[in-house]
Amino acid sequence: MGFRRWILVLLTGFAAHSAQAHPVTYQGATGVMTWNQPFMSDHWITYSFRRDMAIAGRFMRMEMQDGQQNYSGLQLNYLLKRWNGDDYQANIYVYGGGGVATFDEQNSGAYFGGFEADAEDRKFFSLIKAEYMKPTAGDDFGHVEGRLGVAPYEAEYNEIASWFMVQAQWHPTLEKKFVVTPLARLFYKSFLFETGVSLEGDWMMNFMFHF
Amino acid sequence: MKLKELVFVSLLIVVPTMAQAKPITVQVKGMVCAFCAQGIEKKFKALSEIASVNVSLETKLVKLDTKEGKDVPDDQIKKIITEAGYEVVKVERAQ
Repeated sequence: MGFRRWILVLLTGFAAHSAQAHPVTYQGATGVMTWNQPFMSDHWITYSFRRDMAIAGRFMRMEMQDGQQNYSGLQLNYLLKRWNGDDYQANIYVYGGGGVATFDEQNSGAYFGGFEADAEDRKFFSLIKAEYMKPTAGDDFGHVEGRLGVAPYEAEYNEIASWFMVQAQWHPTLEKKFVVTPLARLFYKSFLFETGVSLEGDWMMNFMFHF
Repeated sequence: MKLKELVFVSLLIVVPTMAQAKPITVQVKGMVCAFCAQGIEKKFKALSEIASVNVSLETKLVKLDTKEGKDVPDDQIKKIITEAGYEVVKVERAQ
């Protein structure tokens, strides 16, 4: 119990993460997620065939320091651990897979791995994510993201929920190495929308839904 | 004649009571986000026995109204909540 509390405090206090919210949703659900910024895009379609496991197709655009690199692949997402508390939920996900990376019109095999952890109640949200893509040719892509969020009101189930968040991203091989983005998140039912502008003026627009 | 009337009146009272839908209240742990809890509503609404589903993040309750003469066993309720990613604390049925 002490260890669990420690983990939750760690997640809540440190937490980071990206716009990613749902590597695994509920059993039988399909999720569509897209995250977009000038220096990278990330698109996922997931199918949760178990309550703790999903298969995902993924396409990424990365503006590297010496040109654009794309990645297309399949991955398996696994809900490693979930804590359901009276007033909170916390999750740890891991995922990995492989595909094709394209750089300078050259294709090469690539593999991808990552983890994501989040903790939230109805007022606060925190998340951390780290992932790594290794192509057999071309530059590696490493990515660490963190998020902290606060809700101005505790939305009920049938209301539009609003969140204000700050996202920090670090990816040393992209043209933009470190980006901090204040953003707003809105969601209603199964539809989620986020938008923001980084401290350096980079736009961000994310969309997610599941059915 | 009086006995027949008595039986008829009794049936009028008893039969609708027997067929009446009984609300089920499920207390759920971990339900803090409406976006994440959609699976609960979707899965219960897919059951032919269910008339309506109401989810409250404030009270952490899922209220199920069944159709007349229908019921959903506790095991099935717990399975649906678990597959949606949550934990059932208790299932209560209106008397």
